[in-house]
Amino acid sequence: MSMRPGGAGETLVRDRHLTGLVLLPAVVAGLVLVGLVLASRLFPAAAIFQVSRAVPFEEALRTDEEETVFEAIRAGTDPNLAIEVRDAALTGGRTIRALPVTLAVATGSEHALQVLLGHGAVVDAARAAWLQCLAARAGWPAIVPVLTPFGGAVDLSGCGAVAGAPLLDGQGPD
Amino acid sequence: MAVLLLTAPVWGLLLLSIWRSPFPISEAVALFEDAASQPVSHFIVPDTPYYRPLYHLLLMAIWKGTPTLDLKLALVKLTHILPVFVLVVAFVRHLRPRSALDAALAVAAVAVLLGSPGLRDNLELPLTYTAVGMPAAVLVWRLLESPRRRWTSAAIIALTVLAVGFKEQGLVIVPIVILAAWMDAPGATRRLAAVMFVLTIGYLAVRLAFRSAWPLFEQSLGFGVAVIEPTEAVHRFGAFPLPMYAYNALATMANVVAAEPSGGTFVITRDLLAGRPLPWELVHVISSLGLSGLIAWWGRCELRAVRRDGWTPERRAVVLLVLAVAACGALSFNYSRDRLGGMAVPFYAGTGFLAMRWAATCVIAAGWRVWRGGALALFVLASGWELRAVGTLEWVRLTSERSSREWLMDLPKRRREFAHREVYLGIMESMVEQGTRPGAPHMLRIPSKLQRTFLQRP
Repeated sequence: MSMRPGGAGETLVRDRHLTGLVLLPAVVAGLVLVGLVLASRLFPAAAIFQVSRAVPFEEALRTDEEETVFEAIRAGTDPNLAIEVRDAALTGGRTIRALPVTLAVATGSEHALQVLLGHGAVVDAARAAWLQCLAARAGWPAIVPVLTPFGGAVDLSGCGAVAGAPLLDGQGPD
Repeated sequence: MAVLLLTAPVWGLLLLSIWRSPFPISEAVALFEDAASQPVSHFIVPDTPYYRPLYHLLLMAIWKGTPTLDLKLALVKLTHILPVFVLVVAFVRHLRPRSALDAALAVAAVAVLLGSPGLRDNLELPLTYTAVGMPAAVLVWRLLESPRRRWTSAAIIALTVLAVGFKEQGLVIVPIVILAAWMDAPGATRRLAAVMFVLTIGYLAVRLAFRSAWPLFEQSLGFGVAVIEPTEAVHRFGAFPLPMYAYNALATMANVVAAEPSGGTFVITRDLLAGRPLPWELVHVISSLGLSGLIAWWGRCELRAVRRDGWTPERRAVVLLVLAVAACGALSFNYSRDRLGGMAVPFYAGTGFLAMRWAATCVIAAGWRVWRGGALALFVLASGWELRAVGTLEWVRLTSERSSREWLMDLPKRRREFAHREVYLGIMESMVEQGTRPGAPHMLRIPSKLQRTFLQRP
């Protein structure tokens, strides 16, 4: 079909092309969104769809990954059961047993600590006071107020670390 | 129907995401506590700055009238999802696209509706306030522009009462109806306008009669690039608050048409002046200013023709948009928030559709040289708003993530803080399961550079 320049045929072509151009962003967005929904069904383990990293409970406590900590508790991990910890800085390379709250406090994992306290971890007044001291010694002052309601305010001036001693030595309430 | 299908991936996933989102602890639990324990009179007597009797009575009816927690929460979610669905459907029907080009532009207009901060900020569960007012405004607009039937006036009054009963921002509808009657809208009569005026005066008289000790400033205020807390605002502006009230009103109005400031704070301007604007900031400003500029250009031409040719739906739309934006501003004099511009959003998107249709018709008729520039401009405009609509979807997912995180981490703090409120604690503990359920919507884990092109993060 030949078209006369400036005639009705050309107007129709411009109308159609403009319609396509204006529609294009919505079509692309729609395809991408629907594609992502399908991909999330086909490849649910892909990193793009993950809320939390699949890492061990202990690592999640150390790296303050609250979702992973909660997933572990939901899956059956007891937040009041001591876990084995071995770390050059924290334990001087020794393997010791420590409660999850202790590890969270020692590593400054405030979010993970809040998850533990909100979902089953039992902290009595004596342990809360000891944990506040631990937080002060470890250099995590922001953690102290999280624990204050469980054991009252503690005089932190007497919490000084022993020179050369690891932060977690297997002693204390754990 | 084609427009609804083409836009379904965004609004469908948006509604699905709201449906699967957990309720947050903050606000939700306290609202449910009120619904469970307060008498009806508590919500009816207008002695509070925030008067939303129909919202609270609906919440109370759901809370007390359903047997299980799951059903209560599902119904509360539906009261949020259904209005948004009605908003989209009613909006598309109101546009009445008659050609393929019309349909394409209507798709872009739906993106404007979904991508506007005034809508996005009203999608937070369970705050179904303006989410009800917005579809009511669209339905009223549609009734005003449709041939009058016997029930038209009653329906307009009922929709206005519904909108106002959920949030007083619904009062935006009143001047719209009155001015529509003056502009000879087919669905409006002078009698309806008079009835609306009298009812509103009566309502305002009752509200003001109960105004005893409302604070000068209810909430924190955005001012320049800073946020001022109410006590500081009283100290700085308490002696003569009118300039601050005017600032708040103008901030809300500017947010509707320019995406800036947000909550009274000029964040985008600050970043632009510092030479480090984020991609989403550029997308917001360019798309908003582009569409607002087009509306202003087209609206000026339309209004010039009124004296010669009289009123048309298009000319009335321009006036109604100006009125809706101004009314939203006036009603947000105390503090500015994006959500307070919500009632103007359907008028902005609808008038945007008309302006884009005019521009498209012009560039098609003008020849290839003009077409290239005009088509590119419309493509950029449609792309910007589509990105913002997707941004709204991601915003809902981000809100869902935040709510989930509240349930993971805030429980010890809340248990202490509300230890003396038995009903609150009971409701909160019963909702832990819904707050920590697996599969709640979350944002895509994509590189933050890409995410920042469409997602506004405070």
